[in-house]
Amino acid sequence: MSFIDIVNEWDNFDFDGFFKAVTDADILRAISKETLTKQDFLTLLSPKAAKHLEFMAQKANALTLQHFGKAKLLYAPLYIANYCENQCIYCGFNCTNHIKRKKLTFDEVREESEALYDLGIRNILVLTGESRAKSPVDYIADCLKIIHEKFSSIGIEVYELTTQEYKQLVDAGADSFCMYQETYDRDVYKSVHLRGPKMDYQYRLDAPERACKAGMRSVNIGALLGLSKWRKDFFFTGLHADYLQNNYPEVEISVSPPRMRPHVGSYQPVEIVTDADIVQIITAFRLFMPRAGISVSTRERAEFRDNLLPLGVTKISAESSTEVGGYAHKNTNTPQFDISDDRTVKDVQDMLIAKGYQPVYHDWY
Amino acid sequence: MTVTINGKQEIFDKDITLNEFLNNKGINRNTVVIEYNMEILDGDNDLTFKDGDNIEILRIVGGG
Amino acid sequence: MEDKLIIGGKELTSRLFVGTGKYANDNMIPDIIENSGAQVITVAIRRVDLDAKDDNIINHIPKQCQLMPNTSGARTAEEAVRIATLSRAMGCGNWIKIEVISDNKYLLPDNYETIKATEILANKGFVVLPYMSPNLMDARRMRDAGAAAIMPFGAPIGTNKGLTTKELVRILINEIDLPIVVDAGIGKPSEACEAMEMGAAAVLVNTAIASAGDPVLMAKAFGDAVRAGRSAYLSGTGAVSDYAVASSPLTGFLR
Repeated sequence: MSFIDIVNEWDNFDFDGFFKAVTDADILRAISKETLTKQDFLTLLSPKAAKHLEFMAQKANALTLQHFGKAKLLYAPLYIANYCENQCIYCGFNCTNHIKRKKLTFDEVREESEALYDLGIRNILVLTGESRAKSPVDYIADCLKIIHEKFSSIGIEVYELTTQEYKQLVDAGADSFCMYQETYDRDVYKSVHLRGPKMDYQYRLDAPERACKAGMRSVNIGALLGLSKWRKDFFFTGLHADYLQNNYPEVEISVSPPRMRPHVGSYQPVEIVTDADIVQIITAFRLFMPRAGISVSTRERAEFRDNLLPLGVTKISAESSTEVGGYAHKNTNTPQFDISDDRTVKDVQDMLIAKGYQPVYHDWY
Repeated sequence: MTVTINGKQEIFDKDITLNEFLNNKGINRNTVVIEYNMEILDGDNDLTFKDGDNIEILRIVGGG
Repeated sequence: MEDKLIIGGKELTSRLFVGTGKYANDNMIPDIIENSGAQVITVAIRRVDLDAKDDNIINHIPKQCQLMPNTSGARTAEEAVRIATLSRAMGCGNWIKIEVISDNKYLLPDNYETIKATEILANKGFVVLPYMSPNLMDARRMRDAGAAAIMPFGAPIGTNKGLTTKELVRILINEIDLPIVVDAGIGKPSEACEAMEMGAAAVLVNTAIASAGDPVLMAKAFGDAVRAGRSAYLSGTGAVSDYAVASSPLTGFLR
């Protein structure tokens, strides 16, 4: 069994027909249910559900308070390399882009790790870009061991590994995993991944499951919304999260709703994902999986991120640098994406407290 | 000869077979299952009781 | 509408299982079965009373019914396996309700021994329906051990207290991909109906029918209640608005 079987089950499903047939009563019924079916979740992602957004938001807020209370987890990314073998036509690190490539030395890793620690961050996400040749598993494991000297909560967002390799990283100190499928639509997937190991749709699709098998405590997934039709892509993100949670009940599953922004000269999104769409995505997911985590990065504007907090978000990043070595030495390398919220950890912490939330830096472990 | 039947000791002064015992008690063999020294007896195999045998005669009753 | 319950390869049209214990007179059992519409009928296995003329319960159960012997009396997995093996030898078929009770004060089932018995009997080809204290992790273990359905109690056996374990049973219904049969504790048809509305696959009722003033009429009432609850579940209950739109809306920032 793999999540691909569930993707296949929906191959001939008429999404447009389903959305057309959704009624207001269906939407209200789905909102009021304690346990939502997959169809209910899709109903809440329908264009018609947009007019019931306030209702969805009220329930999402109540469920988030009920299951997570007032705590919000803070984290920051740590880019240790940006070499990449993939040609993803929407990405700034894509192998055909002539940007300055870099891989941190162990001393630099220690320097970055200490700089982040001094900012007050205790939960970090280590990223490499996707090059097995330039950033082999042993290199990542060695970096994790150095970072582990300071940090106890370490996530990894790297290229696809085998279960055994994920285990190696767990042993080196990683306890959470993050990987985006980018899009669940196989045709679009094929058309935007032109080169590199990432071209293998199913191997990437099964990576979160391998991470669960390897003993990761938490697993975060997502699709890059706008790359394809977002309603369908986020629906599959939800089904993927549901599949993982059902089969690996000991793992904490969370999702991220990153969206593509239109850029001059770069690859343009198929659909513009609006702020209201993000609210619909977050609230629909909260109703479908009341106990799952939702993470929102600094790609989103400060004010918008603050407004999302009551609606289901459980994890936010702060004072992020998406350039390699960006904490100890700012503005020397190319960032993967431009951040829209440049507040410091202190700013975010003050904002959370002012809004009645407790900033949480790390879980119990 | 002493044989334990359904947890109670029964004393016999002459040889007796299982089927003879059931007949004496008015028990239809088809409505019960017999466990002979912890082994379930198949079909209607008869046998002669020996000293120290342990017999369980069970049937279906009402239950929830 | 086609709405069949399939357990152990057998298609059932009735979602009410009835027990045959504790009746004032076993002669009323055919009427109970007919009026309830039940197809799955539980029985038990006991030593024959050598000094009294026992009535044979099987004579009161229509041939087309699916017998489900239980392992009542078992205190360990080993004893449950022995009783199951005897019941199969008796021609009761290969269904077995595992009931292992090592607590005589509350008569609560022993999930640990039940999981062990489930594994052994499923491997021997039985259709195993374990009776359990509702607990998600144990239900998963029973599923993994080969159970054909999971039977959590609504309240301790014979108490007629109703669906006191509602929240736990709801979790099993949501999380376990096997039929969930609420067994024991259901005292009134309305409670059976509630279990079915929640999405239980079936309910098993014995004491509530056997101890009613008119057991035959009560059997009919349970049959009706189970059908009503199932229809309600299938139809999807209407929206209940717990979340009024607040005066300071959460999505106001979008406008």
